Amino acid sequence: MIVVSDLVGVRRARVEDDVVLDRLQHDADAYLGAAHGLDVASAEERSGLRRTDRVTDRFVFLGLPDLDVVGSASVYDRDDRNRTAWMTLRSSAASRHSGLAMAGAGVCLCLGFREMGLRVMYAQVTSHTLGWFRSIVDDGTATIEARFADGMVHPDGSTYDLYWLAIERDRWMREWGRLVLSEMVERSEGSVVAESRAGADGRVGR
Amino acid sequence: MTRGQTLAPMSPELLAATDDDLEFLYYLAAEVEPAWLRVSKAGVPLPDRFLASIARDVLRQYVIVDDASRLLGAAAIHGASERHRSAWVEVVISPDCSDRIGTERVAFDRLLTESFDGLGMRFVYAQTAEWAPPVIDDRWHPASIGTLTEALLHQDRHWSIGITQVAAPGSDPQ
Repeated sequence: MIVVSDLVGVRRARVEDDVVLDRLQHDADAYLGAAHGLDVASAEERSGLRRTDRVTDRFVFLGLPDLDVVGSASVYDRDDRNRTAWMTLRSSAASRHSGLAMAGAGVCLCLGFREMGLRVMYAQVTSHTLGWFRSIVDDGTATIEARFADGMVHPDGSTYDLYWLAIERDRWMREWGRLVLSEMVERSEGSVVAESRAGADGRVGR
Repeated sequence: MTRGQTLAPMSPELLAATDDDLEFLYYLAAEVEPAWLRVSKAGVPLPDRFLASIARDVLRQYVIVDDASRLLGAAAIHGASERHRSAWVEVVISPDCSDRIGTERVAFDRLLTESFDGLGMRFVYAQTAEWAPPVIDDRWHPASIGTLTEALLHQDRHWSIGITQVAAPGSDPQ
C-alpha cells in the first residue's frame, strides 16, 4: 500500500473488494440522482456500466488507520500507442468532500504518468462533480477539453452538462505530482505496480 | 458483394452489416492503418474499437456499398444512450474507394438521418482527427464542442481530435 498522508493510503483492488466497490457505485448514483428522481441502477446494471473488460487497473483508497474503503479509481481504455488513458473516481458517502478520494486520485495519476508511461489522462465529469476538480482546473493543471452542453438528461427532464477533462503529465508532475511523490517517498518505499507484479501483498511504510 | 477499385461511386448506400461482412470489417481494421488513427470517444484506437464494436456497444452497424454492390467502407452508430438520447457515429472508408470524401459525407448523412428520425436522438457526436477534412454537411449545423489536444501520436507528431456535435433538427441551438 502507498501511504500519502496520515489519512489515506492506496492499493490495488482485489476480487474481494468488488462488493464494497459496487456499494460505492450505488452510493454515487444515489447521491447524484437524489434531487432528480434518478433510479439507482441494479447491481447487474452497475456491473455492466463499469465496463470491466476495458479496465486495466483498479485501485482502492483506504482510510487510515482503520483501513476502511473511502474511495476507488479505475484506469480504463488505456491506449499504449497514443499513451493516453481514462480514469474514473469514486468516493464513499462518508468521505465525500473530505478530500481523501482526491488524495488517492493523485497517487493514481502519478502511477499513470510515472509507471504506465502515459502522456495524458482523461476523466468524464458532470455539472454535479466538476466542482470537485475546480482547484486543478483553475490552476491550469487540468483542462476542460470538451463540454457536452445539456448532453445529459435527468429522469425529470432537466438537463445537465458533461465535461471531458485532460490532465497532461508535465503539468501534473510540475506541482501536484511533485507533492504527491514526495509524500510517497517519505512514507512508503513500495510501488503498487511492483507489488502487483510480484504478487505481494505487503504493506510498506507507516 | 466484392471489394475492389471503384472509380466514381454513385449513390453509395448503407446496408445493415451481416456475418458475411465480418471479413471486410476485419480487412478494414487490418489494412487501413494509418488512416484509421482516429480514436473512439473513449480513447481506444479505432481499429481495435471497431473490431470490438462488432459485438459490443454498437446500435447499428452498416457496410457502405455502391450501386454495383462494391464495398466502400463501414459505418456505425454506437455509444447510444436511451436515457440521454444521444449517440456517436463513425465512418471508415476503404482505401479502395476513389471518392473517400464524397462517400464519407453521404454515409454521415445517412447515419444522422437514422439517428434523429429513426432513433429519436437529441444529439449526435462525432470525432475527427486534425488532418481529416470536415465531412458532415453544413445543413446539419455541426458545432465544435471541444478538442482533445494532442491526443494522438502519429509519425512523430502530436495531433488533436475535434469533437463535433449535431443537434436534432428543429431543436434549440446550443
